[in-house]
Amino acid sequence: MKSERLLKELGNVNEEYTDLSQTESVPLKKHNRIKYITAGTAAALVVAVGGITLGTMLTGQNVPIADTSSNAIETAGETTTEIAVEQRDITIYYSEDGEMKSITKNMKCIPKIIFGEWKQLNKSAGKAEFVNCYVDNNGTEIVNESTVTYIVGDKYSIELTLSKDSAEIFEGEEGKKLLSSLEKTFLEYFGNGQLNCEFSVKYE
Amino acid sequence: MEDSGIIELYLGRDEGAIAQTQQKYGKQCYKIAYNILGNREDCEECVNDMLVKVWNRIPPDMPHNLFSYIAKMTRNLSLNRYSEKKAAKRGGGQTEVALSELEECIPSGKSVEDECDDNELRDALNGFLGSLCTEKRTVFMQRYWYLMPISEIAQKHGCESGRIKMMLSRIRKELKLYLEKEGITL
Repeated sequence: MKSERLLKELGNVNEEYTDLSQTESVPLKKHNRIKYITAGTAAALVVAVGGITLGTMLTGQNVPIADTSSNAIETAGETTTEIAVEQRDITIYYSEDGEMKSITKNMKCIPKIIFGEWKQLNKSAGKAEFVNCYVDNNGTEIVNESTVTYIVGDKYSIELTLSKDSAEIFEGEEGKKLLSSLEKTFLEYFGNGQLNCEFSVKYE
Repeated sequence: MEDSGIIELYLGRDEGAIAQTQQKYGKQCYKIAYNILGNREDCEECVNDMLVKVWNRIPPDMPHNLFSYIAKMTRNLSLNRYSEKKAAKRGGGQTEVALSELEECIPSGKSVEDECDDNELRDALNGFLGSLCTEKRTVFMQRYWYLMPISEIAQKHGCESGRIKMMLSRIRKELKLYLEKEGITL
């Protein structure tokens, strides 16, 4: 088998790559990712990502995500781009009497708002507080004189950060169902179930 | 004991060398074997076989890096045992999963005659590893050299498994492109 040959030959690479230090951890770089810090920036970025996703899904073409030309608005030395917040039907999942249920609502595509809706429907999620949400994919950026074009990758990761004491609500069997409802809600919101997404939650 | 001291014991044909090797690196070697085989008995046998092999090979061998030398030996012995077990349909550990992941790195070949030899493949792999940044290389080697489970790698680096999976997926794509660019056919 070809992969077996590759695996075996890897065993014969230079010793510098196989010494004991390779079994240790190295600090991983921070993601080159989109961070939702405030509702304002979140709104702009969600639409940017949503636009790319939708644009790519519909047209299969690359979508420019930032305009650094004179069309962009310059404020106090910073260049920003005005984008309207997308609003559409989003399915929110919730766990009730041990069953997974869902409800579709028309709302703004902002992670904090979606999380708020999810929390309202899941009574046991009372303690959970939204901190931020990162979205990343394996795409690449092409920068030229006036535009930055983002070629969307085929794998996405969504990393949701919640407050420290949120962790305990996801403990036990009920907690697992709760987490599953949160995951389904965010995956549905982000890719309508059509994209290859990975979802993770961390606490801080 | 320092590695140089252990090697001195081997060179002096002092059987204490085996005990010192086992004490210092036995655990790590057992882990490598376990990641490949997933079976305690087989791992113990592989580690014992490795100790005998090291005893028989030093001298004349004079390893610069004792850990790399015995880790490589353990890995090869474990992979051979894995192949034997697979033939007897009793595979285990991380190997099967790692192999299916590595399928993604195989460049599209033309014919059997075009297959590269082992030296070419090894040079290409060394070149590729050299081109990676430390963090990517460490994660890649932990997965495909030490056959560590993804969850363990994630734990070591203090991140979610999803991030490691994503990183590995990208590195596999890079490796495929690299091998294709180098004209390597498997």
